[in-house]
Amino acid sequence: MNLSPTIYIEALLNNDRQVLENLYLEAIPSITAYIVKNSGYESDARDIFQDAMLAVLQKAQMGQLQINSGFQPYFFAVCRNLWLMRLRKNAQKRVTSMGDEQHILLNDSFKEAEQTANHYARLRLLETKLKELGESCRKLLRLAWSGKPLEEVAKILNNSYAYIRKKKSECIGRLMELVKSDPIYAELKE
Amino acid sequence: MTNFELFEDYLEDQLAPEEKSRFEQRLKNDPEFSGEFEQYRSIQSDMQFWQQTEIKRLELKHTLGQITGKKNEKALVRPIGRYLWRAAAIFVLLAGTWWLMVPSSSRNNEQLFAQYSAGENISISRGTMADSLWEKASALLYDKKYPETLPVLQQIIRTGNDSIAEARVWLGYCLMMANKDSAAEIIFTQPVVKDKGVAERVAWYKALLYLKTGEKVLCIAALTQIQSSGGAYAGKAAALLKEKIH
Repeated sequence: MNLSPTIYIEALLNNDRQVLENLYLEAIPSITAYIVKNSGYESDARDIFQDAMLAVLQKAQMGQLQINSGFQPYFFAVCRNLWLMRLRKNAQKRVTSMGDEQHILLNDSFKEAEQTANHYARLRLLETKLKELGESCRKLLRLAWSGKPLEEVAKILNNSYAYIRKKKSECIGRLMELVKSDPIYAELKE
Repeated sequence: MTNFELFEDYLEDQLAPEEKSRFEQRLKNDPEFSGEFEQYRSIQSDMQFWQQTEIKRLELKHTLGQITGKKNEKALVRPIGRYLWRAAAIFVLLAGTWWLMVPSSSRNNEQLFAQYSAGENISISRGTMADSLWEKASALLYDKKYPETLPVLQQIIRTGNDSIAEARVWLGYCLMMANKDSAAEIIFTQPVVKDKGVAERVAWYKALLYLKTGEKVLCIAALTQIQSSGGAYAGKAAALLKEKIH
C-alpha cells in the first residue's frame, strides 16, 4: 500500500504506531536485502530503519521536508545513505553493485534523502562530540541550548554574564575542533 | 579577543556600535571569517533544536523499538539465547570487579539517589478528562516502567487540560529515572510554574538530578534553597544535606 508522503510524515510527527508498523512491514524486506548484500546483517537493517525514521522526523520537525515523488523511494534512499556512512565509518568495507534499486536512487528523492541523512548524521556527530567535552562545558552548553537567556544561565551557574559568554565561546570552539577532526565530517556536506 | 568570543558577543548584541559595524563589514569582505561565523551559528541553532526535540525522538524510538522488536521476536530467540549465558557471566564478573575497585565515595551519590528518589507515585484523585490516562501512567510508574510511562504522560500533555504542569513534572521524573538526564534537565529548568506544590516538586527533582549527575555545588545550592523555603520537601532536603554529598 503506497500512501502519500504527507500521511507518513504526519504519522511520524504524531507517533502513529499503526501507520509506522505498516511502513516497517512494507519497507524492511528491501532494506534488509540491500544491507545483507552490502556486508550487513538483518539486525543492521532494523537499526538503519530506526535511524532513518529519526532522520526523517528531524527534517519534518524543521519543516524542511520536500518529497516530490513517493515516500518509499525517498525513505529507501535515506536508509541507503545512512548505511553507506556507517560502512565507511566502521571498516571501509566494499559496497557491491546497487543492482535493482539503482532506478529508485536516480529520481528526485535522492537529493532530499541525501540531505536528510547528512543532516541527521551531522547532529549525531555533534551529540557524540559534545560528550567528549568536559563536564562544565557540557552543562553550560546544555543550559544555553535549553532556550534560556544567557544571563539566566549565568545566574544558575553562579558566574558573571561576561564570563559565561567567554566560556561558551570557548566550549563551542572546542566542540567545532572535535567535530572537524572526525573523518566523517568531511563527508557531511549539506 | 578570539573570533569565537567576537561571534558570541555579536550574537548576544554586546558589541559597541562601531565594533558591530566593523564586524559586519568583515563578514562581507572576509569569506573565511564569515564561513567560520556561519558554522558557529549553525552549530548553536542545530543543537538547540536537537535538544528541544529530544522527547519526541524518545517517543518515536520507543514505538519503533516495540514495532521492530515484536516483528523479530522469533528471529531473535536463538542468537540471544546463544550469547545470553556468556553475557550474564561477563556482567557478573565485571560488576563484581567494579564493586571491589570503585572507591566508596563514588557509590555514595548513587546510593543516596536511589534512597531519596524511590517511592514516588502518582496519586489519582483528579476527576479530569484524562483520568484513565493518569491511571495508566500511575500503574506504569508503580511498576517502575519509566520508558513506557513517557508516551502516556505525553498524551496527557497533549490533552491540554489543567494538569499539564503536573504531567510535565512526572515526565521529567521518568526521564531522570530512565537515565535520560539531559532531557530531564530541560524539563526541570523550564520556567517555574504557578502551582506551589508542582514547583516544589520540580525543585526537589532538580536537586536529585544534580545529585545523580554528581553536580555537587548545584545540588547543595538547590537543597539549601528547598530547606530554607520550608515547603513540603524541606525535611527531606535537610536530611539529604546531612549526608556526605560528592
